[in-house]
Amino acid sequence: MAEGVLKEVRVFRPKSLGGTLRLYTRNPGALLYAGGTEIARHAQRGSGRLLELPQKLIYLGNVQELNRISRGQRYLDIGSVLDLSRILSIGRNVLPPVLFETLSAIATPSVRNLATLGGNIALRACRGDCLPALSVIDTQLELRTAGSTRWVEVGEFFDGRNLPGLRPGEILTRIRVPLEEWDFAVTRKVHGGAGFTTSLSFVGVARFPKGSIEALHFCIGGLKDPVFRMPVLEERLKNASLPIQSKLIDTLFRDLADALSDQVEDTPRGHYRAATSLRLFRWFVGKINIRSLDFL
Amino acid sequence: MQPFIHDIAPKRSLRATVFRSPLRKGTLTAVRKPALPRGYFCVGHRDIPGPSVLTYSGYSLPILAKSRVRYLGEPLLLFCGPNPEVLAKISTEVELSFKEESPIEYKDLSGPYQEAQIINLAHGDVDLAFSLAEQIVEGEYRTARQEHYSPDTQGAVADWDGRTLTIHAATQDPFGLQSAVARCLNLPPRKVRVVAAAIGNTTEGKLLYSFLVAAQASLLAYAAKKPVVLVYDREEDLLCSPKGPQFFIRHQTALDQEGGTMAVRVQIFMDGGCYPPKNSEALYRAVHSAWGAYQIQNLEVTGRTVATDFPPIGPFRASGVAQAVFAAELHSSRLEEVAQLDSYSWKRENLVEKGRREAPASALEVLEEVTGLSDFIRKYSAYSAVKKRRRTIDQGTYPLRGIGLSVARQDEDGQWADLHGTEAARNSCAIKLVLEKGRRLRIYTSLVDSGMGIHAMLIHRAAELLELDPGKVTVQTVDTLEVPDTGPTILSRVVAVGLPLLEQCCRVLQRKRRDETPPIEVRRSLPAYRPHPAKTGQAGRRRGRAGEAVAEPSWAATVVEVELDPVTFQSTCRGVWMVIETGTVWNRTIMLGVLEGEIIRCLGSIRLPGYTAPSAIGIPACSHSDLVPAAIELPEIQIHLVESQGSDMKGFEHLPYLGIPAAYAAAVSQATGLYVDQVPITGEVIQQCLET
Amino acid sequence: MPGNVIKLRFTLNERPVLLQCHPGSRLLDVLRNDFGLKGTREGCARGECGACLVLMNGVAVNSCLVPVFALSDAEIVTIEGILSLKSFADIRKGLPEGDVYRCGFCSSGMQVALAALLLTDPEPREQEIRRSLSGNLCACGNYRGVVRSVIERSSRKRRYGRRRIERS
Repeated sequence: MAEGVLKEVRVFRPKSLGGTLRLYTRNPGALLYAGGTEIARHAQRGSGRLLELPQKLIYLGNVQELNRISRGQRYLDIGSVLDLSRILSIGRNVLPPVLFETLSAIATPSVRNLATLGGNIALRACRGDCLPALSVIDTQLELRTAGSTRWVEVGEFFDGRNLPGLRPGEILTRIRVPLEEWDFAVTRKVHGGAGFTTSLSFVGVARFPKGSIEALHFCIGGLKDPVFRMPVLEERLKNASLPIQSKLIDTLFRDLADALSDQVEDTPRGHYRAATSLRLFRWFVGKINIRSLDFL
Repeated sequence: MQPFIHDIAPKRSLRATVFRSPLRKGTLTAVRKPALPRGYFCVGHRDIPGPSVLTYSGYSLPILAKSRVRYLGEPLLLFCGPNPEVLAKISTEVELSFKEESPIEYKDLSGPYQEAQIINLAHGDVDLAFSLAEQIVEGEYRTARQEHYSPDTQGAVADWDGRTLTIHAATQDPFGLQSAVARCLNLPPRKVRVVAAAIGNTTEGKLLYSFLVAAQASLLAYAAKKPVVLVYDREEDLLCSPKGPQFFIRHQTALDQEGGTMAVRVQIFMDGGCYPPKNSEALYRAVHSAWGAYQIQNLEVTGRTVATDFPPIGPFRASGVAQAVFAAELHSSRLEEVAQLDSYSWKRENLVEKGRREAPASALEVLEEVTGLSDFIRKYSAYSAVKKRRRTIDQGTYPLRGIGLSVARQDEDGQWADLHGTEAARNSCAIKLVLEKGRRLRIYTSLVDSGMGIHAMLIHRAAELLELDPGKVTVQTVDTLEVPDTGPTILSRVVAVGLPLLEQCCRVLQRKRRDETPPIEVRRSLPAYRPHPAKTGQAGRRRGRAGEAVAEPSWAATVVEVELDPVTFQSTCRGVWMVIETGTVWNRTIMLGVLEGEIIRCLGSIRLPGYTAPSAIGIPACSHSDLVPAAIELPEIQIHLVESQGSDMKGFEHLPYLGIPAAYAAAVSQATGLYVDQVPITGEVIQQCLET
Repeated sequence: MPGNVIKLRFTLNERPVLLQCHPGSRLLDVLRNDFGLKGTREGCARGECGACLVLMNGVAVNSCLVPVFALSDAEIVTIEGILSLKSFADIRKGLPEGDVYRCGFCSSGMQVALAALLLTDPEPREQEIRRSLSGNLCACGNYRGVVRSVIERSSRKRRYGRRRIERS
C-alpha cells in the first residue's frame, strides 16, 4: 500500500541552460527548483515524511550558466541560481551597498548558503526581501525561453495579481545590477514578519552633486505591492535644492500617507506598517539633508 | 547521556499520528473512520479503558475529544502503522459531520464570562481607605499567552508486551506519568514502566502534556501490540501544546495627600482556555503576589479564572506570580510619579513590613547593590531630563533611552502543596545513593535533567560532601523500575527538597562508609504530611508539609536599560543587571549559567512578537525567531549573587521572569513617555500606545 | 527508472555512498533514518532553528531544507564526522567542549555552525562568532557560554602558537 501512496515525482537535472529551456518548454507545468528554501519550507509535511512536491520538477542547481557572476564596467551580471552567500562573498566594495546590506539580512547564514537571488525574486508564496534594493538601483532581469530573451525592470516583473509575471516556458536567468555610484544609500529592515509574511523594509538611494538632487529612489517592501515605489514623488524631489525644504517634505509626506493607506490592511499591524513606512521616509529625507551638508 | 525522544525508535516500531479537529469549536455528530490496511490501527475515545481525562495540579485535559470540540487541533482519533505516508493518507479519509460554532474572540477577559474559579484575599479595611483617599490611581495591565518552545517537541514511545507497558517519555515527572497512564489504561502502576528521555529546557511544558502524549502512544501500543513512536513535529507542537495563560489585571490604588499608598484593590483575570482549571496554582500564586514584594495594610484581591474559547492552558514557569508582579511593578511606577519619588526611593519606602521600620534586609541589600552596579540613579535622572525636553518620540533621529528598576521575591510557600494535594498516590519523595567500589557513586532519583543543570547540581553536591571526584559520580538512568520517586522536576523544588534529601543521604553514607565496605546503599524519603525535619542552627527554616519548600524567599532587584528606535519603535536591550540574594551559593557556575539563559529567554519573550495562533491546521503558527532570541541580539548582562550566611540555597529560576518584564516595560515607558502596560512590547504596541 | 526512486552518489563523512530513495526525501531524514546518524536533529523544519545543520561542500546548510536530488556529488559532513574525522582535528580544537552546552539539543547544530566558521577563520572575533550562530536557536539561552568558550579556545591557540614561535 505504501507504494500506491507515494506520489511519483520526476526530477530533471539538466546541466546546461539550453537543455533547461528545452526541457521547460516540453514540461511547462514543472516546478523550477534552485536553492528551494521557500519551496522546501512550504513543502514540509512532518517529521520523517516526504516533501510535498509536484509530479515534475526541474532542478537548476547544476546549470553552469545560471551559476556564474560576471562583472563589466557598468553592470554586474548575477546568475539566478547563485546562492546568496556566494554573491555576498564578492564583497561590499563591489556589490552596491543596498544590495549587500539587504542580502546580509535575509534569513540566516545557513539558509543564505542555499537560497538564491533568482528564487528570492520569483517567489510566489510571499514577496522576497531583496526586491526593494534591486528596484531602487534599477536592476534588470533577463527572462529567457528556448526561443526568446527579454529584459524587464524589477518593478515591471509582477502582474496584476502581484505575482511574478513569467510567460510560459520562461526562466529568470540573469540579474543585471548597475554599478552606479550613489552619494547616499540606506537599508532598513523592520523585524515583524510572522510565519511566512514579508518583513517591512525600506531602501533608499540618492545622488546629489552640486547641491541639488540629481536622482532619488526609494522603495518599501512588505506592503501589498511587491515593489512599492512612487515615481511621481521621486520626480518631485528631482532637482530640489538641498537641504530639502520642510514644506516640500510635508507635502510629499501627505501624498505618501495617502498612497500607503491602500497598501496595508486595516489592522493594528497594517497601521503600524503604514506609520513606520512614513517615519522611514521622513528619516531618509532627513538623513539626506544632513549628509548633503558634507557636500556643501 | 540519555537520548532525546526523537532518537528512540525500537525495531518493528510503528509510527503514530493524531487526527485533529479542523474546527475551533463545535459538536461532532458523526465520525467515520476509514477502512484500515493490514498492520494499521485506530483508537477513538471509546477505546480508552479507563478515565479519558488526564488531570495534573488542577489542570485537566481529555486524551481524545468525545463529541464536543473546543479548540483547533483537538485530538479526535489516533492512528498507527508502519508507514507515515500511509498514515497521512488514512487521516485524509476520515469523514466528519459536525455543527460548527463561532468561537468568541475574548478581547477583554474582564467581560461577563463564565468563571471556573474565584479566589478572594483581603485584609484591612479597603473600602474605608478608598473613601478617605485624596487620589485614586488606576491601571490595567495585560500579558500574552506564552509558548514553551522546548527545543525537543512532545513525544513518547510506548511498547506493550502483554505484561508490561514500557514508555520512553519526554517528561518532567516520570512517576506522575506512570500513574496517569496506568489509570487511563486500567492497569496497576507496577505494570507501567517509564524511562525518561533527555529533555530540552522546558518552561514546565513537559508536565501535564507529556502525560497526554504518553497516554496516546500507550493506547496505540496496547491496541497494536507493537512499539509505537509518537513524536510531534514543531507545527503540531506549536498548535496543540498548552500555553502559559494570558492575564488581564486591574489595579486601583488609594493615595493620601503626600502620595502615600493607603489601600490597594486588584482584580485579576486569568484566561483559563477552553478547559479552564478549577483549582489553579497559577491563579493562587497571582492572587498572593498581587501587590508584588510591597507591604500594605489594606489590600483586596479578587482572582478569577475565566473560561474562554482559546486553546488549553497549562503549567508555565512562574505563571501567575510573574504576571502579578509585572502589573504591581508597572503600577508602582505610576505611583512613583504621583508621589514625585524616583523608583529607588519609592521602593525602599514601600518594601517596609508591617510593624517594622525598615524593609527586609535582603530586599534592601539587593536594591542598593543593583542601583550601584547599574548606575541606575544617574541614568534615571538623565533619561528623565531628556524625556521632559522631548516633544514627540517619532520625529527624532537619535535612539530613545530609558532605564527601569524592579524588585521581586521568589516565594516558596505552598508552591507545591497543590501538586501533592491532588496526587493522592504520591505519598513520598525519595532519593537513593549507592557507593560502589573504586569510590564511585551512583545517584538514584526520578529528577530529570532538562538543561537546568539539575543533574550537575546533584553530582557536584554529592562529590563535595563525600569528597569524591565528580567524574566518578553519575545519575542513574531515570527508570521507574530502578529509581525512587523524587517528584516532578522543577528547579526550585529540587533546590528546596531534592538537594536536602541528597545531603541527608550523603551524611548517612559518610557515617556508614567508616564501617561498611562498598557497595553501600542509602535511601532517604520524606513521608507525606509530616513536618519537615528542622535543621539545627539554620536560621530561616520553617516546618511544613513534605515536599513543601520551606525556605525563606529569595530576593532579586533588576535593572534593565533599553534603547528604542524612534523610527521603527523597536526596542533593544542595552543591559541587564540583577542582584540576587538566594541563600548559600555553592555552585556559582551552574547558577550563573542558568540565570543568564533564563534572562535571555525572558528578554526574548518581552521584545519579540511571541506566539500567534494559526487560523487553520497546516498554516504556520508564527516565525520561530518570534519566540526565541538569537545569538546576535545579546545585551550586556551582569549578575551578582549575594550569599546570606546560615541560610540554605533557595530557588531562583523564577526571578528573571519576575524582575525583567516590569523593569523592561518601565524602561520603555521612560524612553517613550508613554504608559506601556502590556507585554510583549513590540513596535506595534508602541504605535498603539502613541495613537491612544 | 521509476519516478518514485532516485539514485544518487555523494560523499558522507568522507566516504562515498550510494543512495536510492524517493526524490521527496529530505537530507535530514536520510541521515537519521537511512544512515543512523542521529546527531543531526529536527527542531523546526523551517530552516530557523539550526538544529539540523550539516556541512555541504564546506558550508553549513539546513538539512531539513535540502531535498536528496540536490546531493549529487556533494560532500556532506555531519556532526559525527566533525567529531571524529582526522581532517577536522584542528577544527575540534576550536570547538567548545560538551559540558558547555546545557540540555544539548541544539549543540550539534551549533558545533556545525562553528566548524563552518573555523574552516574560514581559525581565530574569529566575538562578533563573527555571534553572526555564525545567528541561525541557531538555543532554548536554554546559552549563547554567551558558547561564545566565551570559542573565544577562550582560540585565545589559547594564539598563546600556544606564540610560545612555539618563542621556543624556536
